Amino acid sequence: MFEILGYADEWTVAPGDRISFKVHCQSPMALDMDIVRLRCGDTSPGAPGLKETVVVPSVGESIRGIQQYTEIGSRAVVPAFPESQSILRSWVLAIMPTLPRTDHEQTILSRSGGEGGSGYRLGIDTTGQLFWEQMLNGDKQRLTLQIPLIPRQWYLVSVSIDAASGMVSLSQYPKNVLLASNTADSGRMEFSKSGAEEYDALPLVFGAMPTGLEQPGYCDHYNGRVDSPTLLPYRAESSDLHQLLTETTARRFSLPPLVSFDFSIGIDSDRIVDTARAWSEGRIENVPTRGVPGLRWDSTVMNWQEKPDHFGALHFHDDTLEDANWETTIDYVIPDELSSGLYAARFSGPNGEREWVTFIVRPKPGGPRKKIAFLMSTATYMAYSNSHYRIDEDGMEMKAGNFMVLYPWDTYLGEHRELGLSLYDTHSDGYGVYYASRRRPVFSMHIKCRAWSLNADTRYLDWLDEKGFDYDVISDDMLHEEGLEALRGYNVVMTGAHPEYWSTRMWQAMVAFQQQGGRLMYMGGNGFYWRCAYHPEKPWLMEVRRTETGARYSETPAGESYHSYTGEYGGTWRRIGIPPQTLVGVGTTATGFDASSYYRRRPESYDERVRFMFEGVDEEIIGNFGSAGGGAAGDEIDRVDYRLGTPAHALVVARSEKHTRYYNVVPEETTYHHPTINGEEAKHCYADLVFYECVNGGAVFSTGSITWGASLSWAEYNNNVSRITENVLRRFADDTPFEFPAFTLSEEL
Amino acid sequence: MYEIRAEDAQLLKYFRTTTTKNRPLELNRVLNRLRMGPLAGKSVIVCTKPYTEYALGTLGSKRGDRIVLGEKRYDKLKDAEWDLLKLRWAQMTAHPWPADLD
Repeated sequence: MFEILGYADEWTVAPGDRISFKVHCQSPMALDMDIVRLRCGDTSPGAPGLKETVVVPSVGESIRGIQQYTEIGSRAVVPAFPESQSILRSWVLAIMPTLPRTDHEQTILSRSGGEGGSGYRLGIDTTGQLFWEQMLNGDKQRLTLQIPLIPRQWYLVSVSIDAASGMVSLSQYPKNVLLASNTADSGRMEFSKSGAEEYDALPLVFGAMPTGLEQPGYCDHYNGRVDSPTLLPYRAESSDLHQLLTETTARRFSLPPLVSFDFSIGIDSDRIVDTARAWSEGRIENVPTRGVPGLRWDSTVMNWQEKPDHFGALHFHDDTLEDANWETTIDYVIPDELSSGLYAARFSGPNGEREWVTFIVRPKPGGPRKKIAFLMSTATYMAYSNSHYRIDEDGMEMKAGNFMVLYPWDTYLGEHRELGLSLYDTHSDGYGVYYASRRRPVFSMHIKCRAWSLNADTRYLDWLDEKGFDYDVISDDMLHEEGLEALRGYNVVMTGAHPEYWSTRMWQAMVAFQQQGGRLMYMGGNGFYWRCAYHPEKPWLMEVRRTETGARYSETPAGESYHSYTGEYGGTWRRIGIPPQTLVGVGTTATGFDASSYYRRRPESYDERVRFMFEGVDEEIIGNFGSAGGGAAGDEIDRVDYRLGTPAHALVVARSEKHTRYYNVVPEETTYHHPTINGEEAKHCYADLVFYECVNGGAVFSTGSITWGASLSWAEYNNNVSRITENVLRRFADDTPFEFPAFTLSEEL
Repeated sequence: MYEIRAEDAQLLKYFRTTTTKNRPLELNRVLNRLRMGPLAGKSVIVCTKPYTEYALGTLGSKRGDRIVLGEKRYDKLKDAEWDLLKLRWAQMTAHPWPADLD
């Protein structure tokens, strides 16, 4: 597996659009390419298996498949500027190393021509000690301090250079002497080698060192924060270091700095601004984190927009990726006649190697729409992207309730860290990952893999095709970009199994759609859970900040809960104040991954309002079968909660039961710990099957379960889960408006 | 953290005869403890061919390390789980594996 690996530059395209496929081969080979329409990609036991139709054969034959290189690790790059005119000069800056001891040296700032060249760098060696290094034509000299840095503590650092004598002084002073255990240190050394004049032609790089090579372009990536890097044209005194503790605009140096970077400017952009020189900027690369507390943060404010100067840090990581930047293997123009659906560019190698690079064909803008739209959760796919938590997170087996089984996609990602991380991972330094990119091979867009994300959603496409429904496929990308316009003309929008991540724009569009009479079928669980934000200029980048609570593997430390891309407060929609119950009647209550369960019909299921739903369904037990855990209620489940906004007139037609003790309620469902939060004993650990009418003829149907879709094909699609889904979809697609019922008081309110 | 006792060995037989839906609580406690080891050097199950072949493997000491696979291959996940249970019992307890269990 994975002899061929690829990605497309866009995930959602319309007929007439050009899409570029970028493919890497383990060893060079000739590739053939077809375009296939995908009906089902789930090949897990009990699933329908791969179902694909070649719609455009032989698009490419004997295409040159090459090895492609991916550069990871963040940095910020500033174009070259002169500094050698100052015989005396000093760098003063603040650093907060987060992983000072690791298996490679780390570069905080550098001006370097690479191996064999000239330059300098400030770095941390593998034992966590700060050093200053100068290179002249490849010859290196280094001054290293003796006392190692303490992780996650701020240090004021100065490097004073006398270019005439060669004397360099290096010092580190902890901001908090107590917590940094008195790790102040300083040293001096006479450097015989200096290529000062050559520095002037070299870029300034924060967070890494240029190698001078094509691959890798950078090395020795830094893990940690940098704040207020300033180059002064004189020997710095301790008073100059203390200026860094002052807000940028109030600093008074003895002479104007040569450069003075203020990372608090442009937090929502890729720019870094040098306030010492007019119109002088650099750019961040490979997504270092912004909108995080810097040296001067004092906990008086949590939102970077209120006091940007408190958030003037860039947090660099050695394992980030913004864009794989692979060469395009082949471009393709989507034919006009290609109907909306899920497709793949299927690449085949000479020895049976195969790769499906999936993409969504949406209806043409302004073109005709079907009555049904299936919404593919591309925001959620982006969040899961290349997840390593099954291999990196030591609590995973306890969570799963089973011994961990690592599948080929897990082990491949575990070994190939150059493909970047997911929003479920932690960086090397333990901090949560905030940014994900789709410009790289994204395993959550794969088929024939774990029954999750896109692969799990193909169970719905398979079922829609089996039942002969006519539908369009749309995506979160499209919904975010176009808002309500993306949903225009549809009678019903059907989600997939796990529509977990929603941007504000997506959410607003869905609310507006409902208010106009649209029907929403929420066919999953743990949906509408987290806020996400897209980069204002680069829609292939997405950000999540996991604040306060929620089922998560990492959380944002204090001061990091506001999105850098949009300034919005991050976290769960429940804690933002717009719980999912207000949109779909149910919200996340518990998760568990050992086994699934069934629903039991409730008396409300016999209400006249839902007679249509249960036509042909006589059984009391629904969904005690399925390829995902053996039941239609499982993995992550949602319930009604009137306190959180479930409409009073909602009908809870069925409720799951008998979940195991490996299910646990999510953190936000319990304000304090007690022993009965597991599925066997918890008061509220169940999935609710819900229906209610909305204004203007609309309605909502919610399954509250991720595994519902994996039950659809059971017994040749002839089962009560399939029947209920079909009844609902046919009614929801019908033009006849739903009647908003008269109010009746429920005892549960 | 729960310390596995010698008498917990008598619970092991239920691993093969029960699922998470009906497992004795005491066995769940033992299994939780056997799953709590550090990641570095952890013994795991690796699916070498999707859903049809498995092996036991050992995680490396740091991220990116290749997993070292054992020689034996299993065509049933249940058999791999049983052998992993035996291995973890030996690695994480000082108590002998019951002679009559296999």
